[in-house]
Amino acid sequence: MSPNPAPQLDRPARQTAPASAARRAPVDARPRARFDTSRWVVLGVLVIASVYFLAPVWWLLVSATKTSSDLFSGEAFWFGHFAFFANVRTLFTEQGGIYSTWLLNSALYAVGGATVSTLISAMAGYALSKYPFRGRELTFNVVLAAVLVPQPLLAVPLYLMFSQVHLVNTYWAVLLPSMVSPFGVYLARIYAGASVPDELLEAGRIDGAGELRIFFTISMRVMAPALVTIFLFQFVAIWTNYLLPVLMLANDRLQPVTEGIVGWQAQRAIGPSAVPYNIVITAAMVSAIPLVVLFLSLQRYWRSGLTAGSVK
Amino acid sequence: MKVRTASLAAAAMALVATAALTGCSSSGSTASGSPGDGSTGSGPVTLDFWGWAPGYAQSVALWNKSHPDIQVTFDTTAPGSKGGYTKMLTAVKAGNAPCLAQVGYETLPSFAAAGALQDVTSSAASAKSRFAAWTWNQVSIGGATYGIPVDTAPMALMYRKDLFAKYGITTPPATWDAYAADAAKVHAADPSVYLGDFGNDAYNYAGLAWQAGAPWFGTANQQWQVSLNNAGNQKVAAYWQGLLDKKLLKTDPSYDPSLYKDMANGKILSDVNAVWDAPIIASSVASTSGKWAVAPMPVWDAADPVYGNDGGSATAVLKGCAHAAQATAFAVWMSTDADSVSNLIKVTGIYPAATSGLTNPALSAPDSFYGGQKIYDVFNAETPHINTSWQWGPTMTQTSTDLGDGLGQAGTGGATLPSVLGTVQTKTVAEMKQQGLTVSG
Repeated sequence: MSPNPAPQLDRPARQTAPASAARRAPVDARPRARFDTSRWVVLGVLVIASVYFLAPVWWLLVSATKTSSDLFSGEAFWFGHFAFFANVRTLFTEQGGIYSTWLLNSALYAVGGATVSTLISAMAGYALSKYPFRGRELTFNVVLAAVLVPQPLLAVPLYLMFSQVHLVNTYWAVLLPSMVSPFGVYLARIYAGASVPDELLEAGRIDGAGELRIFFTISMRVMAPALVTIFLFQFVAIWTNYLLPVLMLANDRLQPVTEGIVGWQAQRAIGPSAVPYNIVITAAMVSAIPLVVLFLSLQRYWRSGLTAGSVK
Repeated sequence: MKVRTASLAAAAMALVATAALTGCSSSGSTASGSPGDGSTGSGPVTLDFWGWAPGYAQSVALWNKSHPDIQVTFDTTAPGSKGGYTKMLTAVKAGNAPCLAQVGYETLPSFAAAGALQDVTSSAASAKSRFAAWTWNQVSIGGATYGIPVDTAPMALMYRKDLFAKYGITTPPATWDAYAADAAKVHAADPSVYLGDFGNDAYNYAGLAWQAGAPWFGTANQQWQVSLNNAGNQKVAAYWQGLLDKKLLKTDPSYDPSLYKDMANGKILSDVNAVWDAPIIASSVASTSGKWAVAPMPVWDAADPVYGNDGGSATAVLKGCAHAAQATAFAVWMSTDADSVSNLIKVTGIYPAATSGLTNPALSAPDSFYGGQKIYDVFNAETPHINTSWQWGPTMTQTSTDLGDGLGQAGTGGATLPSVLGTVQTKTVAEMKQQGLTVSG
């Protein structure tokens, strides 16, 4: 809430206010100007929204540091006995250290799937944008329609298809469907249309570059912000995907981390070999770290890509 | 072990359902000797087994060591209610389902309605006498047997011994009348303290109806019957509504941190719950260790005690299994073999369905959380008196969700239990008709 100097200028200082109070302008200004009232309302709404979204994250952070018994006694939203490092140690040794296998699986599915998906989306979107051909709009509309189909709806049909080609219960069963992203194609087309000028391609062609070379050396660089966005969206979608791997895999060493954690959670406290609740929570927290790191490191590109196509 | 119904199964059911009560043809395979030994002499057979419970893999390893002719591969899938059941149903549809699957009793009718189960009546028949009678009813639908019981979940009263004494309750309530009187007594002594909690877990409530012999579902003449709103169920509902009206019960959501906080703080003195809840309470309110005890579930008629059950699961044989007899033999062995049962008790935390399992030494250890009591003695004594007539329906995903919502509303005073039952009855019948099942009542 830094004082905004702008409204201060066109507002005469109140006669009764002492000089020191005048400097705390926004407090005095609040009841007067309509602009400020709406600003406070907006601020209030934003604060409520932030609390709403951040409270579960805070709870996760706090709970991951607790011992099992502290979890149910004491304050839910404040720290108890600090056992975070002990929890992490237990987490990575639980059931023969299978948690790190799950993390690696998730990384493989997410990095592999998102990389290939980004490349395919870029090529398809670019082609749909820059090369006129018969049926172009129809193709694009089909892709657009596919954006509207929720992914979980496709999991069961995909399983039936993969069963016929004997690919269920392999890495490919999760990787292959992850490599396709209709939304990525849509975004790539819109962005290519808006940001890659035809003149640039003409110049490349006059200089004797082939279409592939133009695409990889010129167009893809111009499209970079959109590609980062597609990569991020797809990465998050694969990392948090649940139903597809559940259906496709019947081997806990192939599972991604989401499925593993849900499995632990369902067994909580039942039987001496079950994973304690605080370890499950720590597992959930640790599994979110790669997403946070990815978002923060790619934030710069991501923000400029997010609005791509929004005004088209 | 806590085995719950499929929240995702409904979605799969819509895709997979073949909409017939008896969607299973006879397996055609004949029983091969005693299901106990399982050797058929026809060369090594490989069977797949899907489940999610820890400890199953160890039992499978024990079997494989002693049965070279029938090798079982255990695959850990997602828990049934978290997509595991959907996976099994989809695999049956795709034709690559495993022979064996871990399926909760409450979900078996859904599987049967979807035509996903293999009829193993003939190969399983000789094992019937080795299980508590009511468990056999759980794996049999419309006269056909589809699997072998693994575990059960008799209910009991887990209570704070020290605080019962403090509030002048010398013996834990043996009947529901005594329970109501004690609830009033405790609450009168300290208005912030409650004898028990009325949660929103539909399956816990089902255990109460189960005990009272108030059926929810039945089958007759190839038709499903729904009786959630019958006189017996209204009697149970009226009893609990009476306690709620007088505000004699706390209404924390089931298995919620708020419940365990109240237990730890001595605000809730007891819980009527299944055998698998005993370790959950122990790990959730560890700070009160040694102060708890287990007593039999309060009954309606002290002269003829009948108890309820909340949970339990079977090893089902799935449709399309080419070696149904061998699969059945394995399932019987897993549930009855002493070493396997010991492993399942110790690692999985099951309470065995096999009658021989009840005398397993692993069930006679004193439990320090419950003041050194041998708590399984209570459940063992109850087991012969569990109501045998209970049957689950094919719509438990919808029924349990709707009832859970209703129980929550009843807890906050937004609805009364008798009216909730009427609503759930209507919705359940509608759901069955939507699945294409014939239903009367």
